[in-house]
Amino acid sequence: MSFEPERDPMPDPELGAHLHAVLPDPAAHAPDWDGLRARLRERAALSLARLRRQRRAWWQYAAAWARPAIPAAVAAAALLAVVLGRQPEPLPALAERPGLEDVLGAPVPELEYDLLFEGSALSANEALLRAAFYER
Amino acid sequence: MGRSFSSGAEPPSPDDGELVERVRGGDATAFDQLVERHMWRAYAVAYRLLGHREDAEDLVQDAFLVALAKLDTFHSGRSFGPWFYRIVVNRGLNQRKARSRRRTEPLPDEAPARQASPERLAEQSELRARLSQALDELPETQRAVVQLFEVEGFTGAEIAEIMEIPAGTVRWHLHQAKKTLREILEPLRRRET
Repeated sequence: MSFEPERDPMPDPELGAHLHAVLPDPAAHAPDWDGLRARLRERAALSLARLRRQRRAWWQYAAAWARPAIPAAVAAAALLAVVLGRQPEPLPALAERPGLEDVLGAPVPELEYDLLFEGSALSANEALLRAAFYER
Repeated sequence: MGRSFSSGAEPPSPDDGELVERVRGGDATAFDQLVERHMWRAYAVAYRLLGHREDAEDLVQDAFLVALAKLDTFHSGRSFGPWFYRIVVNRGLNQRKARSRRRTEPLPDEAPARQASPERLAEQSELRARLSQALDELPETQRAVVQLFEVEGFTGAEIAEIMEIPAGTVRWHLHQAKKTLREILEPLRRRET
């Protein structure tokens, strides 16, 4: 019998038969297949569940997130509406402010009149003194 | 018996690669199918390696669970069988080493009883004892290689993948093992011719 490193030898039926006879025969000592299946199924369940959890598609992630995300979005929208509804009172419109005509047409106190129209006769110091006394 | 038989009316069963992909996604049915497909052969290999039913059952169970845990290291393009039987054989050989002193179950003595004379029976019984002893004295790798090739029916390439050794090394171990075992069988051959 020569060794051929490049080619598988052919199986030897005679040797195979003797080995079959010598080695333990699994068919003669078959296990309880149903029991073996059941034990395997039971012991594999956890690993399989872990694999299922790892292998979720994007829509499954979306679905998983939808449950907490939808109420959170509703709450955020309500909060936004409340915040927007509480804006500070707007400044008075331009029309409500006194115009130039209102100012010019308003009654002028006597002293201010004197200051405006008799100012020419008073010195600046006198006008200041009179205004101060008038204020008091 | 663990083997399943299919009738022509059934849809074609998915191949191992497809089942492995489904198991990767946690499909328990696909795992059951994979177990069903390989359970018998795995048990046969384990039982012939260990010679003890309970040990072989435990080995098969562990091998499937280890395969499941290591499934992420399995490359989809390769074939599942050799990868799985590597787990069975490696663990079996380790157990064999660890339990080398443990006795095997008594072997059923049914085969030669059919047509043999008492002399012939005694002769065969002696021959078997010698063959069995020679098998036990072979280096572990040679013993496993010759068992996988001559008894379990794996090819040299499959054994190379299972044992994680080059195909040329498998052939060398096979050659050496067969040479040793044939020398044991030679007296029987001479008597028969």
